Amino acid sequence: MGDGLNSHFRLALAFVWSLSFSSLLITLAPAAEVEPGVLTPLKTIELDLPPGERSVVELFLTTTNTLKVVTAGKRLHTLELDLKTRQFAPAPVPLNRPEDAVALLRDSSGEVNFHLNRAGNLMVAELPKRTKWIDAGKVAGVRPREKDGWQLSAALVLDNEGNVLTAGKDGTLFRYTTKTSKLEPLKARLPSVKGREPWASLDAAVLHERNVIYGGTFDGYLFALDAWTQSIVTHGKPLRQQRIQGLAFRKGKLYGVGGEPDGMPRAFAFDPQASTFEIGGLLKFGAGTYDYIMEPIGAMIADREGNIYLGSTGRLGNLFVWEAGK
Amino acid sequence: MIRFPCTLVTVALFCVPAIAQQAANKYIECEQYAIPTNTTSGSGYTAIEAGLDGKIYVGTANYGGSAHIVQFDPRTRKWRDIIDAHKVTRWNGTGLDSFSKFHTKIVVDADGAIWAASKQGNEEFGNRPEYGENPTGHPGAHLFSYDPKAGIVRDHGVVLKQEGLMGGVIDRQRRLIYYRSDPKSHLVCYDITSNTVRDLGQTASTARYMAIDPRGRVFLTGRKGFLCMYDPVADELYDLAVQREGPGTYVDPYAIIMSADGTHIFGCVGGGEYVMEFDLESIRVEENMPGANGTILCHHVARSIPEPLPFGGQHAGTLGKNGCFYFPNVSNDQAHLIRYDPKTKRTEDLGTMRVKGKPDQKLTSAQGACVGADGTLWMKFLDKPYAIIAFPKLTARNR
Repeated sequence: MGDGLNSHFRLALAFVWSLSFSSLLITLAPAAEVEPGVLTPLKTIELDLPPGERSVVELFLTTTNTLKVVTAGKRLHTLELDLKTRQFAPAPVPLNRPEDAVALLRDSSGEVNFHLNRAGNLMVAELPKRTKWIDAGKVAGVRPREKDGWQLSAALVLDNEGNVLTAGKDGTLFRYTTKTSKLEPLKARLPSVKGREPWASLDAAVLHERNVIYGGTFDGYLFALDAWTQSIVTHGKPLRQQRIQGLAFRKGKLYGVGGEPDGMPRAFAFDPQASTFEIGGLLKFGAGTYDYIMEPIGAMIADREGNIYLGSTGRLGNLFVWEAGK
Repeated sequence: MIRFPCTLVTVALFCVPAIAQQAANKYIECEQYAIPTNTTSGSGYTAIEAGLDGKIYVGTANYGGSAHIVQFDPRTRKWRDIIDAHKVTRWNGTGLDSFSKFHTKIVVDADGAIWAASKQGNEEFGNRPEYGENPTGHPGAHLFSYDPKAGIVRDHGVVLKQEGLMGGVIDRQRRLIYYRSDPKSHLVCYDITSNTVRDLGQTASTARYMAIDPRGRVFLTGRKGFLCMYDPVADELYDLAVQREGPGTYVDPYAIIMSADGTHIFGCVGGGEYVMEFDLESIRVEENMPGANGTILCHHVARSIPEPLPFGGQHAGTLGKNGCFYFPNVSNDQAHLIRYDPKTKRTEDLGTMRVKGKPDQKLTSAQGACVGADGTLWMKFLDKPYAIIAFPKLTARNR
């Protein structure tokens, strides 16, 4: 597991992004340089998935500047979107995924290297064959008074050194160090109000500069974790609702979508320099009364040009792009 | 050689408007009963149904206030206020997100119980406050039942958090009621026996009407060009791609009504050129069909209004006791009553609707229709006054 695995993850680091379970997809495209707010000029455009493809559950980028879109309609497929032409490759490819995964990390070739299973254990692929999963240990806690109430996080994230971070019992952050193959709790805990610690799980996370990871919690708190010092800065809740459904950085600003699964997803942006929020409201993609993205965004990712892609849940999931006014 | 066509054109120029005028001058008279003004702000939609007790039940819209279910007794011609949504729920919400509408089709169970569900009073979803973040936030539509024998109203609680409800059909055999949520357009199923709700998934529907066949299959419009079908036996929600047969372009219907024999669904839509017949025998469920789960044939069977009148608003529909499909067609700003006979496949303009004793009162905005046990056709109009109208025994079998 040692150096081989570590170098593998270092190589993957530039291309791999966190993913989660959902079914619509959106892209944020560059905004104008002078603007009243970073969210204001963005507009949402619907990009149709190929016929028959619904329910986007994962997003990841490849070395060839394509976006892999994993759909989970009746079958699990990978679609390849050319980011320049926004055209899909003609044939969707069947894809494997650990059946009990609630969160996972793939490398640029699409192979799953880590996943969190339904019992709340971090599972690590045994390389190079990947025929076995190694149980790195229990991460999840238990949510009291809930049936099968594992405190499961929806996000795994890589830090600057290729280590995997997630959160578990009572909001404790965990790090899997790839060099030593060890899973350990950090001294840092996710923000929560007193008594809500068992509900403080990691909904979304994204790596920023200088090994700082931004994350969002089940209760809708946004925080920054310094992965070196293990210190956390809580930035509060951008929305009144619970849940942070997705996070992505572009041009030094953090973009996010939050809201509860049975509500409507809402956009926000955060400026790490000024420590200020901008609230973007609902995600409208057309002029019609019902032209809102109404299902939760579950996957969100930024490409090298600063476009940000998102995915949301539902049996009729589709593809969207947020674009700045020209 | 030149004179003949000129004469034809001249004759046509004079005759066509004359024929149109003649068609427009045919009237069909109705009785009108204004809905109590203290229960409404002058608006209301699909919510009208005849109870097994012979009474007509009507849901009102009362923007910014409390919606009501009111009961009209055709014998005494008196109204009774049955459900005051705010009073029953003890909800003091104000604004458009309170329980300001009864939009769902009122459905009647085999035991005579009247079922209705509320809705928020707006479609301004861009400013939609979630429940709890704003005092006017909509907590979710309540489902109510009224037992006419006992005179008891029951509040069955919120069906789907923050969502309003529209559409509505009842499966009396299985004791299930289906609605579509708004704005997220989930098909929901309420089990009367177990008092439980199931979310059957997204439909992308904006349907006001739903239909149910004798097998318990539920139909509603879905994505543009699709009809959604929920089959309770397979427990599957299907997106059926509509394949049109006949003239014109397919437009998703507004009102859909099950035929008397349960083999077809009739449809009409505002501005629609043709009456639609969806053939339920034609349904093909296909596993590997791209973008859909199967197909259904829709026949454009007849003009929605006989020539030469132009097509207009068709925002209501119902099945007569005689098996004909009745719907309004607001042509040239006048509501015509149209009868479609599935046996002859023809539509007939029964005339411009006119209120008895009020020849100058215009009827232009029909919303909701039902038929009583004696074949009386009832419709709801949003014109002033907001009222129901009746065509006594118009649809009776042996009339």
